[in-house]
Amino acid sequence: MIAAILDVGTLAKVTVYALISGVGISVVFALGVSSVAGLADAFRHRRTVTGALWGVTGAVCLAATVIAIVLGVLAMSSK
Amino acid sequence: MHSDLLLVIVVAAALAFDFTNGFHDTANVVAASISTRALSPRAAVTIAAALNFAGAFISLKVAATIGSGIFATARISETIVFAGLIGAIAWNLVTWLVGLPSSSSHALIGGVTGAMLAGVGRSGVKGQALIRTVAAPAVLAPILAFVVAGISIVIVYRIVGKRRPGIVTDGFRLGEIASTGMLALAHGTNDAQKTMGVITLALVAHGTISPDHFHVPTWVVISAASAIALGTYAGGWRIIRTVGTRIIKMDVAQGFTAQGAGAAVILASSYFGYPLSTTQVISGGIMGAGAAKRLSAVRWGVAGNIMAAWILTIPAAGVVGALTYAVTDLFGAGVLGPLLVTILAVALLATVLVRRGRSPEAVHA
Repeated sequence: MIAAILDVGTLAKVTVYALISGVGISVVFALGVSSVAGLADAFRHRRTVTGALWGVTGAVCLAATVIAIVLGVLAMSSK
Repeated sequence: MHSDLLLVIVVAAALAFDFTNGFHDTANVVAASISTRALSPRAAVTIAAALNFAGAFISLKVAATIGSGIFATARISETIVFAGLIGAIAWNLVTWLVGLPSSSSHALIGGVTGAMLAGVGRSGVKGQALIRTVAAPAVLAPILAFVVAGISIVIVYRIVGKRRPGIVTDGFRLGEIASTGMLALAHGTNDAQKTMGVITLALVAHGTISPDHFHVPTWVVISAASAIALGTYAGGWRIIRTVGTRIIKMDVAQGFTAQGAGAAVILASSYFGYPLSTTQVISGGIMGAGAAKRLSAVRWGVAGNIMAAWILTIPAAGVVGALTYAVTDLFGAGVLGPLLVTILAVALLATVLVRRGRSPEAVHA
């Protein structure tokens, strides 16, 4: 009865989606920021290879963040 | 003629509510960015206003939920819609005067529910739908935002903890600007639609739109988008100060995770058609980001006041809505009651604003 009124299934989906997307986007963006900081440090100490690795990681993370934002806007528009 | 005038009064009240919704909820979108200096106050409200306007055009599903999902549309009258709006506006203004972030959405639903119960009785409100689409998400959403922001900030601190602060701070400031934009867009999508739903309800009650063919006219979309954008640009600075500085003292990482958690919860909920309170979600996210760092970082007294306002919102707006309906009903079903209430409400508001403007506290607000 209560489950039917509350639509527990949909609320559970909201919880899972919010947890994955909310924590995911924060972690990915923080990795991107950390990578950019790592890149700056590596160049300062003339460690080119390490700097390039940080650069690639940062670019991937920031691209993933942009994709997540676009997906968010698409999710809004599909309501 | 009288019926047309009544419709004009109801639409004006709906747009007035939309304006209060904008300036009341500006804080949800911009408070974190302003308090962490990611954006200047004027830049923040300008971006928020523009994206609120744009967001209002994205979707109409929430408008349909408000319009036909919770209330028995065939039994609604323009006077009921008017009384509900007065209840919502009154609650928005009271909470703005004391600087408390509360839900404009719940104020609107509470106001119309109270007026509906007074005018039609219990059969006018779909109780199960109200619990399913409003009450349950209202309890879940802020807790979820609290948890998401809390988990996020713990991981984020671990990731960036040993990095030089300069680049990290600048990075999170950019992230905050992006999340502010997402929140503003989501707010425009959700909240402007609620006013669209209410105006469309009035058009149904007026007989302009058939209840069987519920749709939102274009002029309603444009006027609701404009009202919420203007309200957002006006900025509810008292509430911005409460959300931005009085719950926790935020750093940029906390501001970003709170807004990111808020955006995630709002998008996930909206995707499933729940008309959510952005206020509760963002406040929950800010509390979570603060509590995960240190429990004592959250000013629990302020948080307690905010939560009390959340609990009171629907019943308080409902009581004002019901009382307003009772007063207008004394003058019959025509335009006289709503007209007198409007004049009284405008006079009362003007008096309050003039008195607040003269008080010493207003100088520092």
